Amino acid sequence: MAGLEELEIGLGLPPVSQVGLVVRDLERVVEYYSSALGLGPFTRYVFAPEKHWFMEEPCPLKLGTAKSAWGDLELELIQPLEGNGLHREFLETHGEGLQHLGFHVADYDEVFDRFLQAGFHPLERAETYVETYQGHLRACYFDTHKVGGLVCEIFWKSWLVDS
Amino acid sequence: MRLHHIGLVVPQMTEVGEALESLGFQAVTSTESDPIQEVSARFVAVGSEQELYIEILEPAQVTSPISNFLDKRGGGLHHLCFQVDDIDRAAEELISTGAEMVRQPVECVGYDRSFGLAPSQTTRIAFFRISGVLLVELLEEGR
Repeated sequence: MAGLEELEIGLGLPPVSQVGLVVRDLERVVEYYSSALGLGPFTRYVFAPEKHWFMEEPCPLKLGTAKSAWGDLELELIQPLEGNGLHREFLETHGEGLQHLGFHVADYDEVFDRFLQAGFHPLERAETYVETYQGHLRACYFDTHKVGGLVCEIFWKSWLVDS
Repeated sequence: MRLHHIGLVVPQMTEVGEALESLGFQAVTSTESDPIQEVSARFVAVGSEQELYIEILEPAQVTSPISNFLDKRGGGLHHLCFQVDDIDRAAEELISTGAEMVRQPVECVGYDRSFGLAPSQTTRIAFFRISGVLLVELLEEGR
C-alpha cells in the first residue's frame, strides 16, 4: 500500500476535507440526519457570495447550506435557492445526491494555477466574506468530469488557516 | 461506524485511474472483480490521519447494480461507505431510523482480494437509501 506521504504529488492536493451533497429541501435532510443518524450539530448559513462566476460569467448566487463534521471530513448539504450554478444544474440533471469532493488548500493561487496547467478549467468560483465564520472564503469548482464524473472543489477559508 | 470510502462509478476504470493520478492520488490496490456484486473495483487513498479511500467502480456485467446509475448519470459520486464491527446490528439500527435497505448483507470477496485479506469469515457489505437522497454502504471487514 502506498504511504500517505506519496499522495502529495501531481496537483499537490491535501487529503479530501469535504463531501458535498445537493438536496432539494435542506431542512428535511438536516432534520433526518440529526434525529435519525445522530449527525451534527449542523451549522446553517445562506451562502450569497459577494463575487461569483459561473462559467466565468459574473452572476448572483444564493445557496442554503448546512455543514457538519464527520471525523476529519466535513459533510456539506447544499440547496440551490437563487441564481445559476453547478448545484442547480446538478439537481435538474441528476436529482439529489453526492456532488463534489472538496479540498482545503493552504495556497489557493498556487493550486489554482496547477489545475489550469493540468488542463482543468474553472466551472464556478466565488470569493466572499462569510459572516457566520467571520472570515474570508475563496472557492473554485474545476471541470474534472473526465475523472469519472467527479467534481473537485478547492477552497481556502481564512478561519481554518488562522485557527 | 467510521467513513471508509467514497464510491465513484465510472465507465472506464483505466482512463479514470490515470486521471485520478493526474490529480495526485495513487491507487493502493489492484483492480479486482467481484462476481457477487458484478463490479470491478480498485481503491485510491485520499485520507489524512484515518484511512479513507475513493473506490472506483466499473460494471463487470450489464446486470450490475451500478449499470443503471452509469446509464442515467454517466458516472459520478455514488455512495458513502461506513465500516462497522457488526453489520447485522448496524443494519437493524439504520432500518430503525427509517433507512431503506436496498441490498441485504452479502459477501464481498473482491474487497478481500483488493486488500490482500484472507479471512476465515469473508467481508460483508449492505446498501441503504437514507432519506431518499444518500446511498450508504455498510462494510464489515472479514476476520
